[in-house]
Amino acid sequence: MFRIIGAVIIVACTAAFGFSGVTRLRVRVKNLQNLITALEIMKSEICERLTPMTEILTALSQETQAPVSGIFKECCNQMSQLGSRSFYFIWKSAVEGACDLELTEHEKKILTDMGHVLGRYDIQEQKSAITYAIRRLETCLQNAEEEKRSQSKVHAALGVSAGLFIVIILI
Amino acid sequence: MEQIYYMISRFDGAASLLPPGLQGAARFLDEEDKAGAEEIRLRTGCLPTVLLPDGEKPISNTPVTREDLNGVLEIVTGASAHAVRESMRSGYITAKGGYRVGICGYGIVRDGEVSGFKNISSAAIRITKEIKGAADRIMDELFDGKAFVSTLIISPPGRGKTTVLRDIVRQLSERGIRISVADERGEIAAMKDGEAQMDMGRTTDIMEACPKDRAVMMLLRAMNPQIIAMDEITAQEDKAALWGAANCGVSLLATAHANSFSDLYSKPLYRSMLDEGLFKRIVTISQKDARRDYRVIHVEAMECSG
Repeated sequence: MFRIIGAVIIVACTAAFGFSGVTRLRVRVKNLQNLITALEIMKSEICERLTPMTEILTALSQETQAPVSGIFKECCNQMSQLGSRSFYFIWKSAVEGACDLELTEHEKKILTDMGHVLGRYDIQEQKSAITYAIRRLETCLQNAEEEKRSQSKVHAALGVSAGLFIVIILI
Repeated sequence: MEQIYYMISRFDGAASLLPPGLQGAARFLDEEDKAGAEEIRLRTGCLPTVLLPDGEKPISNTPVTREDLNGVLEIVTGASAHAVRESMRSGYITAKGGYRVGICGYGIVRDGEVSGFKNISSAAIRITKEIKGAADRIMDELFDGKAFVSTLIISPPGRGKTTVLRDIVRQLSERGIRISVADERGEIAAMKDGEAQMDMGRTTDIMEACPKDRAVMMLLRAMNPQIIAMDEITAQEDKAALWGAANCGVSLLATAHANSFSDLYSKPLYRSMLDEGLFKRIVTISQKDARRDYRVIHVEAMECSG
């Protein structure tokens, strides 16, 4: 009886480990989608409504889903330091501090590069920078979706089979 | 003494628009220079300076960098250069507190119009000073009985025409007179997010950025003013608009560049205004050391005396 219970626990644990990998891939895809939507909103607020940056950040921190909203919230909190710190620095530290977004270093760099232009230049230049960042993030999203498709089943299967393998060895 | 403290606080306010390094240098300036400073000037590769009545004085031994100027732009616009696009096209931005920041750089021209600047090469932070009571000594002379008579303030540049104009507007407004201001260059009220950064009184309506001649006609139609005020009459269009207002029974208050009454009268545009009786009072501003003297000329009396 104890053997059966032990075997079930082992399989459940390894399966959970496998499924957590699947969840991570799903979250990553969802975050990239939300991030792209937020940048689209930012672009239209800057280019069409000429909304000041503080208002854009406040709106995005309230309207986008967590954990993406965290980047904008962090920027809002730090905007009072504008003057002693540049906006680029504020944006960069908010992006780099967003660990729960599951972004790769490459994706973070896309966002921080965009920060060089945000709020500083002519509308057309800001529009080009945001559009370029969106395009690059869309490529990342496609890769993430592909990874999710191909890796989800592998993660789940590996989790369950690793548990079964351990159980067989132990028995 | 109170006035000195006010001027120092205005300078400190302007210094807060600078990036940290330059801000520190500006704050170390002695109080006399702070009180007398008219502008803070930054040019890439040159030492930062303050403009004093007797010329520019460096405030630091470190040349201004491009990053410093970008920093100023970022602070003044709140990292929102796009939101002040219209103002940038005119080459200046109004910062919180009524400071006017003029910028120079590489103009971006689209469809034949300047849409902004990049590679900013110079910035001049103008320290606008509001001197309440500047017009105290002349106010009574600007009335004929209970009615304000049309007045033109004249002086060479930098003597404080706008400061006096602003104080007259405030005092008229405090008396409950409806006054509309055509503030084309944003120097009178220094509007920021729809709010005047200078005390313009409780019954003052301000139309900013519109060309003066069109603003006067709009104000006449929309705001039913008793007095219309504007800065720097320079063109025939301004004169036509002022006549339009005067014919509607509105009194006028304006400024013009001229060294003296005779200098004013020697310029055809102003001579015709005076001959046609558009203005009844001329206020002249003269400066002796740091003291400014105001004199009110009654135009009718000048005409009688020939």
